[in-house]
Amino acid sequence: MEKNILKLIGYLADGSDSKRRSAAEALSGADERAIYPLIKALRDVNAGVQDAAMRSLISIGGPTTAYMVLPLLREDAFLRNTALMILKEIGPEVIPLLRPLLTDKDDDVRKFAIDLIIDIRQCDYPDDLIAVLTADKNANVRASAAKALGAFAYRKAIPQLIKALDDVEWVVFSALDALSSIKDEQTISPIAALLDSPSDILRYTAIETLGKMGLPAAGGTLLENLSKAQGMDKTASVKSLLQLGLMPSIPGVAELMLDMYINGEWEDRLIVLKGLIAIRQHSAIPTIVDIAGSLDPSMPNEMDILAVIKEKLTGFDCTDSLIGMLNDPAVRYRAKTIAIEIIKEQNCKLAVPHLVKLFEGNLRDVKRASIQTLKEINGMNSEQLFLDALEDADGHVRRTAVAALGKIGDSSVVKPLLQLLDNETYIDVIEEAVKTLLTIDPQEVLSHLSEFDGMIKELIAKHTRDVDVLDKLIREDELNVKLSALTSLGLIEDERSHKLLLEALNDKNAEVRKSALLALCERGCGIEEITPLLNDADVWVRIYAIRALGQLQRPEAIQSIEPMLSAAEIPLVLSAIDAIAQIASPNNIDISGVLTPLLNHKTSVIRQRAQEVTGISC
Amino acid sequence: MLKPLQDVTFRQLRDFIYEKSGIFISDSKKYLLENRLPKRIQERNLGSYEDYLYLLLYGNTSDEQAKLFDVVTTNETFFFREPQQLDLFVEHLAPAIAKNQGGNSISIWSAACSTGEEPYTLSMLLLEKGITVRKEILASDISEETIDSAQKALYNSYSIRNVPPQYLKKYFKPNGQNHELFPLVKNSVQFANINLVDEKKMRFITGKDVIFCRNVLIYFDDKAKKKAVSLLYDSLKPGGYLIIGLSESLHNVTRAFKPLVINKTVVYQKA
Amino acid sequence: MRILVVDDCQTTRKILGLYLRSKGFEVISAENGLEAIEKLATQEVNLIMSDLNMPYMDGIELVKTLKNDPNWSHIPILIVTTEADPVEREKAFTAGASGYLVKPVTAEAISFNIKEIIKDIFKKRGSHD
Repeated sequence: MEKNILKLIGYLADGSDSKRRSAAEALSGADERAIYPLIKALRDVNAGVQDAAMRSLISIGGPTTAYMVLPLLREDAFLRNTALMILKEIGPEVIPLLRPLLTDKDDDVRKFAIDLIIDIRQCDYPDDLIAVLTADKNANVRASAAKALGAFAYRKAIPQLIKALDDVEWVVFSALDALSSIKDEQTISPIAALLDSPSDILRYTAIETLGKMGLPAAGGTLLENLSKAQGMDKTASVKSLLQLGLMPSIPGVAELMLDMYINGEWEDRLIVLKGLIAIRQHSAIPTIVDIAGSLDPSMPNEMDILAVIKEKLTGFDCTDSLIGMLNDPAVRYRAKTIAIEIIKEQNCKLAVPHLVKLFEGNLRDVKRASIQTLKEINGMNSEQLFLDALEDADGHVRRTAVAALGKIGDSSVVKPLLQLLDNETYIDVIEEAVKTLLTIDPQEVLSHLSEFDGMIKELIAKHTRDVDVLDKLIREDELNVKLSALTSLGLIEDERSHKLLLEALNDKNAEVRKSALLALCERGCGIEEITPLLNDADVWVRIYAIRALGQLQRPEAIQSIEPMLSAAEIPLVLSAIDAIAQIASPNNIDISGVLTPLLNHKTSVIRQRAQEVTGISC
Repeated sequence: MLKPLQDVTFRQLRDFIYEKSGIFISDSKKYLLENRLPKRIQERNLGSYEDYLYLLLYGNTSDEQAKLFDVVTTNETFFFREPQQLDLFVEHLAPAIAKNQGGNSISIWSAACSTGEEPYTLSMLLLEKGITVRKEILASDISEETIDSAQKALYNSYSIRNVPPQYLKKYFKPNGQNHELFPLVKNSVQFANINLVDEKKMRFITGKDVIFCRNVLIYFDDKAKKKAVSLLYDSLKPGGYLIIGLSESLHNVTRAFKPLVINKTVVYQKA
Repeated sequence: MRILVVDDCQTTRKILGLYLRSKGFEVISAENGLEAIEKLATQEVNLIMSDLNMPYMDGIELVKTLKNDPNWSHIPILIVTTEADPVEREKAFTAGASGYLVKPVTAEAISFNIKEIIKDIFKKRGSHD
C-alpha cells in the first residue's frame, strides 16, 4: 500500500485526464499523505478529476482533512465552495475547528463557519452563536446566527431573537424563521408587533410565522389582522389561520382559497385544501382533482401528496362535481382516474352508470379504476359487465372481474370461470379464479382436480381447507403443490391434518420437511417429534426445529438445543440463543452459564445477541 | 400467515437493499416491501420476514439477491418514452458522433433498461436514420426477471401505445394479443445484468458515446446517486453524453458533467 | 417579466422571491448554477439574479457559461452576494455580469437595479438601430 500511495500521488500529475481521475479516485482509501496532493488536484483543469479529488477527500475525512481543507475558505469562489461541500460531508469532526472562526476578521469566513454548523446540524457552543447574533457587525453573519439558533431550536436564545426583530430586515427574516421553529408563546406578541410594519414583506413573513408556529394563542391576533388585511397580507393570514385549524370567515374566502390552491406550491395547496373542504366548497372539486392529476405517481414524493389529497376528498359527500368530471371530455385521464378512486371510497352509487360508460372506453387506467370501483360499490348489479370483462385484453381488468364475480357469489359464474382457467396465462388472474371457485362451488372445482396443471393445483392447495383434498395434493409429484398443501394443513386444527404433517417430517425432500415443520410451529407439537430434526441435513430444517422447541418452552429442550450454539452457521446459533431464552424466561432458568462463552464469539452479531439476552456486556 | 413486518427488520432489509443496489426505500414506503416480499418469502418456503433477512445476510445470497432486486424494482415503461430526448439523440447527437468517428458508428448503453422498450426504441430510431451501432446496443438492468422478459421482445398494446404507425408496421409483428419485434431489432440489443452501484462490474464498461439512464436515479438517495453517476462518467468516452430523465437533475450530484441544452432539452457531456 | 433567482440558501431564495413578487415580477428559482441551466432549458427568463457562493457551479462560472452561449448571452445577470470585496465585484463584471449588489439587500435596491439594467439594455439596443 505504501508504494501504491506514492505511485498514485505521482499519477495525479499524469498527462492523461483519465489516469489522473483514476488516481484521484483510488486515493479515497489512502491515509493523510494523500490529503495535500488531493487538495491540489481540486484545481485540476479537468472537472472529472476535480470531482474525484473532492470525493476522495470526503472519503478520507477525519480531523486532519478538515484542518487542511479549512484554509480554502479564504480562496476564490470555486475552492471556497468545494471546501464547504467537503467540510459538510466530513461532518461533526469539523465542528470544533469552526468555533474560532466565529470571531474571524473576515465577514465571509464567519458566515461560512455558521452555515457549516447549520448544515452539519451539530454545535457544542450555541452560546457563542448568541453572542454573534447580538454583536456581530455584519448583518449577513447575524442572519446566519439567527438561522443556526432556529435550526437547533435553542430556547435560551429567545430573548436575543426577539431583540433581533428590531434589526435590519434581512436579519429579521432569519429571526422570524428561527422563532417559527422554536414555537414559544412568549414570542407571539413581539412578532405580532411586526404586523404594523410599513414593509409588505415583513408583515407577510410575520403573518406566515404566526401560522407556522402552530400555537392556537396566535389565532386571535391573526383574526384581528385579517379584518384589515389586503392583498398578500390577506392571503398569508388565511393560510396561517388554516394552519392553526381556524376557518376564516370573510367575504370571498372561498375564491381566495381556490386561487391560492391554483397558484401555490404543493405545501400551500395542502393547507388550503383543508379550508376548501371545511367550507364544503363542492365547486372547487374539479379544479382540485385536475391539479392533482398533474402529479406523477411514479415519483416517490408526489405519490404521497396524491394519497393525502385523495384521503381528504373522500371526506366530502358523493358529489355531482365528481360525477360531472367523469362525463366531461375535457377532463384529463389522470384526473378522471383519481375522481373514480375517490368515488369508490365514498361508495357513491349515483356514479355507476357513468362508470359503466367509462369502462367501455379504452383508456387503460380509467378502465381499471372503473371496474375496481364497480366491483366495490355495485357488485350484484354489474354481473354481466364482469362476465364480459373476463375476456378483456388487460389482465388487471380480468382479475378485477373475477374478484367481483367472487364477491357476488352467484353459481352461474362457475362455468365461465372454469373456462377461463383453461385459457388464462396470468397467474394473478388464475389465482383469483381459483379462490372464487372454491368459495362458490368447491365440489365442482375439485371434481376437475385431475384435469388441472401443477400451477392450478398449487393454488387450490393454497386456498382450500378441505383435508381430503389436501391429503390428495400432498401426494402429488410436483413439489410446489405438496408444499402449498402442507402450509394449508398447518392452518386446519384437527387430528388428521396434524398426522399428515407429522408424516411429512420424514419426507426425503428437505423442503417438504421444512414446510411441515413450519406448519407445525404454528400450531405446536410434541418435543419428541421435533427433537430428531435437530440433526437434519438441511440447515433450515434445523433452524425451524429449534424454533419449534423454543415455542414449546419445555426446559428439557435446552439440553438438546445447546449443541447448536457451536454451529458454524450464524442463523442456527442466533435461533438457538433465541430459543433458549424463550424457554428460560417463563421457567426462571439461569442460562448465563450456557450463553456466556458466546460473549466472546468471533462474529459480532452473535456476541451482540448473547449480550442482549444475558444482559451481560463485554 | 406472515407476521407483520417489524420496523427493526424493515430497516435491516432496507439497509441491505441500499447497500447492494443504491435503491433507498424510505420509511413511508415500508408498504412496498410488505406488498412485494411475502410472495418471495413463500417461494423460498420460509416463515417470516426475519428468516428472509437471515437468508439474505447469511445464506448463499447472490441468487436470492437477484430475486430481491426483481421484487423491489418498479418497472413500468413504454416505447418512445420522453420523445424530446429521443429526437435530440437521433437528430443531433448520434449523427455528430458517428460522423466524427468515421465509419459512421456509435456505442450506446441503455442503463436500467427494464423490459427493453428503451434500447429497442433506440435501435429502431438508428435503423431508420441509417446509423450503425458499433457492436450491439448494450442494455442492462439490475433485475434478471425484467431482462428475461426484455429478451423475449414481446409487448402488450399498452407498451406500444406511442409507437408511430410506420415503426409498428416495419418492426413489429402480431403474436396473439401481443406484438413481437422482428429479429433485426431484437438481435441488435445485447442484454446484461448490471447493478449501477457495483463498481467491479461497472468498471468493465468503457468507451461509450452515449449512456441513457432515465428515471432510475430517483430511487437512489444522494450518496448512491453520486456513486452511480461517477461510475457512469467513467464508462463514457471523453466528450460522451449522459441522458437522464426529463424531470431528473444532476445539480446536487456532480460538477463533472457539463450541461448542454439543445432544443430545450438538457444533456450532460463528459469534459 | 420573469426572473430566475439562483441561490443555495432556501431562506434567501424565499426572501428574494417575495421582494420580486411584491414588485410585480414572476419568479422561478434554482439552487446553483447547474440547476439554473436546467431551468433555462425549458423556461424563458428575462433576467437572472445569482449568488456567487454555491456548490457544483458558482456564480462566476454561471455568468461565464451563459455569456458564452448564444441561447442565453442576452440575458442580463444581477449578482446578489455577501461578498463585499471589490476584487470579486471586478471578476463578476469582467465575466459579464450586469449588476452587483451586496447583501443584505432591500426590495427597493433590487427593483432600482433591475430597472437600471433594463434601461441600459434598451439604450444599447437603441444605439444599434
